[in-house]
Amino acid sequence: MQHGDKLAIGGGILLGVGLGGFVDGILFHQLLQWHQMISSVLPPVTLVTAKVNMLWDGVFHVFAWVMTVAGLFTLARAADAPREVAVMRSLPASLAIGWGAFNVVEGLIDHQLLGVHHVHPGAHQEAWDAGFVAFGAALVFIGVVALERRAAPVLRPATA
Amino acid sequence: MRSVTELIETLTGATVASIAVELAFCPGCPTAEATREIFFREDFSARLGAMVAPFVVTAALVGLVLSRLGRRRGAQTKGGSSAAR
Repeated sequence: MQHGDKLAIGGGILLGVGLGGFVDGILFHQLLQWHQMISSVLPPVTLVTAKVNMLWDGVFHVFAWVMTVAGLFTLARAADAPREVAVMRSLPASLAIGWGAFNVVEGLIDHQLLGVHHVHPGAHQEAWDAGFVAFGAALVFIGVVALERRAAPVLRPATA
Repeated sequence: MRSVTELIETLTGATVASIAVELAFCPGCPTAEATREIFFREDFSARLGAMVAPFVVTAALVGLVLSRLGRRRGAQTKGGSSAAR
């Protein structure tokens, strides 16, 4: 594996983590309003508690933005580095791995372990949380399989 | 353990002091002060940790997997391809 291949895959994964964070924040927090960042420990039932949740959502988006920028810069470095596989062949799979891995880790830490919020609070919230982690795991699986197929020279050396 | 707790409390205090400038959050908003009070005083460290942890853990996992992938590939193709784009 060339240095550029590692940068391309790593950059794609970081970008997937950042964009996955934005999907979570924009879709679940803002459009659907199923939950906010600390809505299970501080329900947004008054203007003040809603604003506190909004502030924590902002902190969450800051980290998602940082990961996105880190991914972009890593990909830009990959473009100029020696590679065996074109960036576009590994990018979709890397994005899926990053998005899925973030969902799994965030689901386990924030939903299961700390319980600061749940995907869809109320009836069957455990099922929604489990579904969120399962969706993330599926994305990782699909990403890994796609990466092996589309970037075979990197993951499966011809000499093996 | 106690010293770690003290360090976290000190860092939290410094963070609060540096960020919680009176004019930083919408001074004209009637709910700004109450929002600020809850945001910085109620479990600030724990909630910040809950925010940061998923990103840090995922990034660490990515780094770990990529480093192992590179080592595995390196071991399999010692002196292998040097094709460059």
